[in-house]
Amino acid sequence: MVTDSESAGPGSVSRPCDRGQLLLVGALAIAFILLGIVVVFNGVLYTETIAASATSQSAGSAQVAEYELADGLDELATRSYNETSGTFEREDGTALTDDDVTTFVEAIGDSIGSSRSAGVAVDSETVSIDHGSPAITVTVTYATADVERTVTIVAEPEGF
Amino acid sequence: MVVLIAALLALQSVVITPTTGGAVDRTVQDQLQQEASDALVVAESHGGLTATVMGWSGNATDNVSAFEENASLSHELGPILEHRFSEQGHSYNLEAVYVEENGTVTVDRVLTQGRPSSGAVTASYTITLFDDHEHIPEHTDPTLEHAYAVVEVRLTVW
Repeated sequence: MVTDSESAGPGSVSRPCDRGQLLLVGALAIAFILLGIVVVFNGVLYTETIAASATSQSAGSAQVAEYELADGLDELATRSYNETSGTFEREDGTALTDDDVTTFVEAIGDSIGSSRSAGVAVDSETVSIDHGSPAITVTVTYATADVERTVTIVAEPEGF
Repeated sequence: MVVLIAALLALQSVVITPTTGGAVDRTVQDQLQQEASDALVVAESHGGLTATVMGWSGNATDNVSAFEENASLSHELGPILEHRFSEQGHSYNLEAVYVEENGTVTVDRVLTQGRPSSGAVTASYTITLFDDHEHIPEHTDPTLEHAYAVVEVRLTVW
């Protein structure tokens, strides 16, 4: 039976019906808004946590790579330096060459590169062996997806 | 009623973050990774990693590490791993990785405490062994001047 709103007086049954529909639609709208807010915030929080950590890890690993190279080169400098002759020598007694140092640093660099997703590049022109100071100098570039760092390593024999 | 149900659903789903599925929290994993890396750096600054690798004598089985007599995890590395990881309830594996001239990769298990879980982290440190070190394992790289081999020491913590 259809209620005719015009024939009935004010405050009739039809107004609660309209109000009821409004309430329902309003409730559904609030419900969807709530769910939408929750989904968006979840996504934002999750991405924030992941994105921030990657770059800071790379910076730390660049520093570790510098230690690894410096340690290796220091030991090479100590073992190859001959105090009596005052020069850096190879195992057979001849002078240490730039190529020897490059090969050595590249071997360490390869190991570093394969243990993390990074590339270690040695510029062979920057290798300098100074028998006088004494010191061995090399410039190395460490690169990952986020960070690229160029470092000059100076290695001196122990005791100098 | 609908609002109440929607509010209930919303509150329930806020609880579903990446960590509640049983996955490890990202920041905790990063922290563990940094600690593992620092442990290796600090140990090597006192020569601990070189001493450990030189004392190793055979593949390790679960909870038994194989070292030569009178050698063990060097006294720089052992306590660090013990205090930082074992006492906090973490387990760790230690491996030494060698790459030889012809490209073969050998992984020597120095210390094993089981299989890593899916949330494990690893840290590596590269050391060089020289000809005048004692008790060297047999993986040499003859192209290197003065040096015997380049070793990657890998620590897995979970």
